[in-house]
Amino acid sequence: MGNNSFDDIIKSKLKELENQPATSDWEVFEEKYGQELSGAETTMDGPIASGAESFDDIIKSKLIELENQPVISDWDQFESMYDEELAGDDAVFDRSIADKVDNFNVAFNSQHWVIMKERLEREEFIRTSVYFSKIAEAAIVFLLLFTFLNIFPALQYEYQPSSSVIADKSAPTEDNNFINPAIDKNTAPSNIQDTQAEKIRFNRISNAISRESRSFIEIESIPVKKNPGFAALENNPDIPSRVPGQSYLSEVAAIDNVAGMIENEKMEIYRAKFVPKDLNRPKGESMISLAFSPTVNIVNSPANYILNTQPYTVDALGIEAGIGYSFRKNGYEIGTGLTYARKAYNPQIQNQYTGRFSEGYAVETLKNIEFDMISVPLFLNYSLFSGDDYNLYAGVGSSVNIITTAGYKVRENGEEFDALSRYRDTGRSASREYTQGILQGGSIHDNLFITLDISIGLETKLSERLSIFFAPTLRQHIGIAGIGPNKDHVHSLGLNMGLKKKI
Amino acid sequence: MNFVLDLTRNNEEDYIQACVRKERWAQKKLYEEHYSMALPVCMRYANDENDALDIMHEGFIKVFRHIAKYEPGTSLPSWIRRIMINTAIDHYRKMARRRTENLETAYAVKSNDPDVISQMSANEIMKSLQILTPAYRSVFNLYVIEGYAHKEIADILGITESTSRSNLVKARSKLKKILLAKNGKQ
Repeated sequence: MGNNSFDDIIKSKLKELENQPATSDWEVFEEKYGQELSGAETTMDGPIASGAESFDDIIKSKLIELENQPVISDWDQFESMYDEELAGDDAVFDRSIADKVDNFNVAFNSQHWVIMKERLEREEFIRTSVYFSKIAEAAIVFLLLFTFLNIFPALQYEYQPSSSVIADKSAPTEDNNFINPAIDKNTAPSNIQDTQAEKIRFNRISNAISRESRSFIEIESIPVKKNPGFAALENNPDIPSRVPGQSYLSEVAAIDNVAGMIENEKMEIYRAKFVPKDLNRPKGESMISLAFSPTVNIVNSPANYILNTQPYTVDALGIEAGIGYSFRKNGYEIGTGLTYARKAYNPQIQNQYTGRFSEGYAVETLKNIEFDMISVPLFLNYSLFSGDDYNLYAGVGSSVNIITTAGYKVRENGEEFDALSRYRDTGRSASREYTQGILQGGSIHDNLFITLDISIGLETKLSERLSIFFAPTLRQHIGIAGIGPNKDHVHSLGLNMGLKKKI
Repeated sequence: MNFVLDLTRNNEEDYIQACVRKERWAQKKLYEEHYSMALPVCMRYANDENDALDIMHEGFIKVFRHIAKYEPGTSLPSWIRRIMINTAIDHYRKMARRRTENLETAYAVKSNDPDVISQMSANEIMKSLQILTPAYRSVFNLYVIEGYAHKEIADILGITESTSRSNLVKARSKLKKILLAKNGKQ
């Protein structure tokens, strides 16, 4: 088909369009409006509404329809559009960044572990220091309390009434409530002053209280004035005992009874004393001790997953010696001290290659571990049975142990040497962490451990101030941290024996 | 002679138990194994590498302190990662300085050209992230990298949801600006 024929077709079609009867927009609207009206009329009851009314109704119904439609707020619409916009525009950006960041790798830097290790040690040191300071605080509080109770003079005295007064105190009355400092004879309640006898009693009690600061109470003569009229009646032989005047005689007898009771109570109060507490309670004893103990050390080595070794237990002999201070009272003895201990043992044989490719490799074996340590025990002994010359007691306590020096004998290619000095002198890195004692520059964390101490002891007097004791003692290493390169838990069973001297 | 350099038994559970006992070799092993995961996480939230190292070490101290609470059988890296993120958020809370930026300025940059990003190294992207303010950086990381919703981010950071949205938009825009500047197009 040529271009001309195509143009002609188009032209003819356009002409057809022009020749069609044109319908104006108004006519279209009018037609639609008519349809709307007829629709509205069919839905309405009653007579067909007029044109204006029906128009209003249509508009009204349309508005109601609009109101009933679910409302979508502008913000919600905007937000959803905005989210779509973001998702569309920024999703690619976000994904690109996330991919890049996920692929970001950092090679391990061994220097960072050194920093981390220092930080861990610092952290553990701070934690240990906090524990120690808390223990010290508790000890200081205990000492202050102890000191206060023992030396403050106001607490040294107590009131010890006689047995009858004690019995009366169980049910306080005006009569036996004589230690109540609130009672003042000048401000006595009026009901107490009602009768002569009660007034006398009140005066006596008040006087006794006024002298409470003294350690004894003087007997005070309290005159009891009898009514002379009553006395005359009492002594008159002309009045028989069972006559109309009996009531007077009875009153006289009652007054006499009261006077007698007062005299008795005076004696009770006289027997009451203010005595120093220490006069009738056992005094505490301070003692120093010197002790020595051969020990059997039981060493538990945990599994080592680098060296692929199983948990291991080894026994070894050791010694302990120390001095102590204790205070004993009422069957309890509390004490502390300073103990030196030496523990040496052979760990499980573990062969390791060590060295460098350039220098050659050697087979290294840790043969022996030696620790010198100082312990500070805190213990409480309780007397189970005691006589004039002996005391059988059970004790429980805890010790803080610090390794002062450590030594590790290592065998390498047949040669034995001390690992710490060899590696320090040669600058060669050790195959494992040979922890140094605290005096060798080691950290507190590596060298400190706690033991729980349990003992049973027998103490026998040698003289009035000197005694000898024997106490089998078990020291159980507690806590999860071990000591030395194998992180060992060192328990010990020892026979603690020594001398105690009263001071 | 019995040579015992066999590490086959050195599985995760064993050294976690050793970590519980605070054995240093096990702590070192755990640190070494998760270092490559932990440091990048911290770097995303930090101002620089030193800051990141600080956060990571703080995170590892928390890991070692609470390692006994780790439930064997669950993902250890995920557990450590969560601790690192929480530590970084804590760090952000300590260091946060409220900064306001002109939203219009932030919106002014319009470039999503993925080529710009693809041409850059991961290290450059990381450094660009570190230029962002802590507030923007945190929201961006939590939303884009960790996949948190704005409501969760709002809860984590203690901000409103709308602030989270706003900060994300600003962070993204700022990051684009930084990346473009780095790429020499702006």
